[in-house]
Amino acid sequence: MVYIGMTLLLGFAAVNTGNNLLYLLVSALLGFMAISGWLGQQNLRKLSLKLVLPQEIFAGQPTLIGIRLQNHRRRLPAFLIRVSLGGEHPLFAQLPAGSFAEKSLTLSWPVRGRKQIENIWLSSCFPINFFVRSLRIPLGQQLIVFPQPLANVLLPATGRNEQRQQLTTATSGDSGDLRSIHDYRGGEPLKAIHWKLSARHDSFKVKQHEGLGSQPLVIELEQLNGNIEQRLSRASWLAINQLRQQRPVGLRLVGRLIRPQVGRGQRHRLLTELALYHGR
Amino acid sequence: MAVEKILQLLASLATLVGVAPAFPFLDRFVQTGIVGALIAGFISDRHNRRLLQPLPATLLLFLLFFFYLSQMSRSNIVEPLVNMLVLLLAVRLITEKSGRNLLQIFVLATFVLAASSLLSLSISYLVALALLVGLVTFGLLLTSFYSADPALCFNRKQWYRLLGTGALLPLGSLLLMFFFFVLLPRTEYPLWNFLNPESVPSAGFSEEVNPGSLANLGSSGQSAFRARMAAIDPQELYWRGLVLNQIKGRSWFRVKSPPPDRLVTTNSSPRTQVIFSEPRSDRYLPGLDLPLTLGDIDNKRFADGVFEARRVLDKRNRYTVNSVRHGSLKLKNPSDRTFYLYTPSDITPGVAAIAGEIAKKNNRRSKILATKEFFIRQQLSYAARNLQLSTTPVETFLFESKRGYCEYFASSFALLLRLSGVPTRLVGGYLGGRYNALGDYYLVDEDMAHVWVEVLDDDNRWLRIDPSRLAINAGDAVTGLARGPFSWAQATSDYLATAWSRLVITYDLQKQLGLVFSVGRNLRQVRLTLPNQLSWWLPGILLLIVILWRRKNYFRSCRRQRLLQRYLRQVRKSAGQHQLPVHLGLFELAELSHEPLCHKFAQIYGGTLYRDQALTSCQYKQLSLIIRQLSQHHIQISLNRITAEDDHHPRSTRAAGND
Repeated sequence: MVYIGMTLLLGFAAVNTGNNLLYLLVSALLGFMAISGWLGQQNLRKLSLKLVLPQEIFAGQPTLIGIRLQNHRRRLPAFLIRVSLGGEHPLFAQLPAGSFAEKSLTLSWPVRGRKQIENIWLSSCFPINFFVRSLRIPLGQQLIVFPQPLANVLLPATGRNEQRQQLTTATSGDSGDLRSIHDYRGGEPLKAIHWKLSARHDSFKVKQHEGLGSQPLVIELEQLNGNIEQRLSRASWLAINQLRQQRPVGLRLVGRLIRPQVGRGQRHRLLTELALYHGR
Repeated sequence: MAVEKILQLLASLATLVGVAPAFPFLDRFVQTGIVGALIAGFISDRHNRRLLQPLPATLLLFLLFFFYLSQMSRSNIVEPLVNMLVLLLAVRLITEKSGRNLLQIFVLATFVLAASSLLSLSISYLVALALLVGLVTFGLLLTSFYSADPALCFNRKQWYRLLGTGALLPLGSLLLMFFFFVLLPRTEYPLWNFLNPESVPSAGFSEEVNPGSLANLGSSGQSAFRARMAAIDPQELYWRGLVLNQIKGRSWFRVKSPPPDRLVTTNSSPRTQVIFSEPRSDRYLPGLDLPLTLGDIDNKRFADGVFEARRVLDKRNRYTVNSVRHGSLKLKNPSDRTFYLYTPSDITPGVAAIAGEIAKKNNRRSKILATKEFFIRQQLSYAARNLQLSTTPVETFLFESKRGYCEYFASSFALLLRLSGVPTRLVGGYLGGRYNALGDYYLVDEDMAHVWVEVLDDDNRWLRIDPSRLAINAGDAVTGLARGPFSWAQATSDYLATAWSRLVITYDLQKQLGLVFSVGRNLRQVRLTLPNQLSWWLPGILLLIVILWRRKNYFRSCRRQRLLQRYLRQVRKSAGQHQLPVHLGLFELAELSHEPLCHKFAQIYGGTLYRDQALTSCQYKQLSLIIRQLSQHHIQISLNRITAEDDHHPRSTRAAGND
């Protein structure tokens, strides 16, 4: 507004005095206005943005989201790009032509379920701070927010000590009985090498132990305390906690059963089911 | 380096540039204040200390504002205004340089420069304006960064990048400035014209010749006009202004209704001059002797070859004159010659005696010759200083002092001839001019003002005679002839000043309309003539251009694929293979070939491909060079090894042939 006001005032003075030096100054100010408008418009062109989401997002917990901004222009760098998402506005001060930069921000979703980040706003006050240009980038980013894990839950059916009884699993591990000895294939830990045998055979021999597991656990929502959201939260905590201890965990929902298994895939499957649970 | 530091430096520089043109017009107190504030501001910036806190600064600003407001009156607006703006700027320099205050410094510097245009119209304004545009635009640019994050710091590379893009702002602004300057609307009668710096009209040549009234001839050094024309013989540079046709006592003056003259010309082509005249206190329009016609300004032509403007010449003017080299005026009615024979009654005895001698000659030609001989015999010298004041200047000049300037020579010569019966008149104007080859024009100073004589010969034609040339020191002393040519620096500086005045200072509504009409006229005259065959093809060609333009991205992306195909073709050729497996990756190919060029190609090409970047023109050239170099190499690729490896390990890399 200051700039426009100044240009108008000087323009008024130029017309009324007929002083060509004032006309020159006003012309330069108008020229500057035109060029800065063009630069401002160019500054937001050919930019793309990607969100780098963590694998697991829990309701009510601050989550670090990565933002990758790419400048696809061939010559013109991008300046002062502000990304607005949630309440945070990370600033990309300079982004050279044909390059990308990454920043992160913290977001939090209060409730579980399937969510979508439809748009993201880029804004820039470049080249002068009088005008801020904005650009909406449609993202359509789908994400699933898992229930917030709620600890302090008693394990259903049996006490914690009983759950700890160990079972041999089909997969190899490093703490069970010796299952076999085979040639070194690369990638096995050093502690797995059978040094004596290796010395005798003139090649590395590796010990393979049986993996140990626990009694499978099937989580039933009805057996947990609290309202439905609290039960889902407790179930989440239980799934995470028990899977971390290599215990196979399953889930019984209305009319179907997810069989107990271990691993990251199972963890994701269970949390997704809990996130999208709607009681039917 | 921190953005903040650069911004503080730019603010100081913008102040310096903005204030410089107005500095000579400021009060001494204000001059001291702004210089002190600049130094103090610079030092306090370096030590991160502030000399003035916000509250006292605001109070001081108000105080200064109201003080200078009270100083203003209708006749004195600009100077208090400029002083006030400069002091406000000084206060801002020693207070905290926050984003808002920095912005105020840039705005105030711009206003001070704007106000200086109401004090002086010098070309130095343009230099200051160009510099200020650069400083303020870059300053505003950095203010954006500073406002976004006051702690921002850039490394050298980032500064260069910012400077590269930021330079578009001042350069583009200055380019567009010329465009807008031509287009912005003008008014014929500006309401606030009284605010503009007053142009000082030049003294012009004298409308009355009074020899003996001045002991010293003044020298103003002001330019009278510039005449754009081809260079001619300097001896012919007589610029005709007015004709003084009557004498009373010792004064020659002009009667505005002289007997009519008739123009007698030969067939020589006229000499055209475009005259750019400085403001004048009279209305005479000088032109190269003998002027025939005068245009581009409303004027009145008198019968004795004098042109007079119909309005006051208080502004710079431009007009065109057509003069004739071999031509003269002839008295239309010979009986009117008595008008040019009037002499005053109080003629001194010495003058009367000489005139009587001359009068004894038979005809006018002999009388003129006799007068010239008398002048030569008298050993008169041309002088403009320490002249004797006299009530009988002709007598004193011819017989006692024998020193005088052009008025003495001309009036004495004319009086002697009139007394001897030859009709005579004085012509006032300018003699000489300094030619500027850079701009193809003569610069004529007020110091070149000159008076010469026209006498009626036996055929009743007016002959130009310059009695000053009869002085013993004529060549060195006659001002217009004594002036040397321009040096290179003088020529450039005068050319710039002239162009500045012609293109900027005097650009007004009339010129603007003239420009619009001439553009319209030129456009109407443009005829697009195409051969018949081409007119049929033209729409097709245009359509093709549009299609190609719209598909430019496609062609751009294809360029990379075409390059890859060329590379693979060359590799096949150099390896003597008809076919390469389609799944073979670039890096694998390089590995198998053991060829450093292939490794380099894979590195550059793969690097851009996997980073999802376009090939730069430099990379494109590099890769093309590699392909050319490959043509001189023989490559060994063992395809059996590829097949054997394929059997054991499925390949993860995609085919090199597919981008």
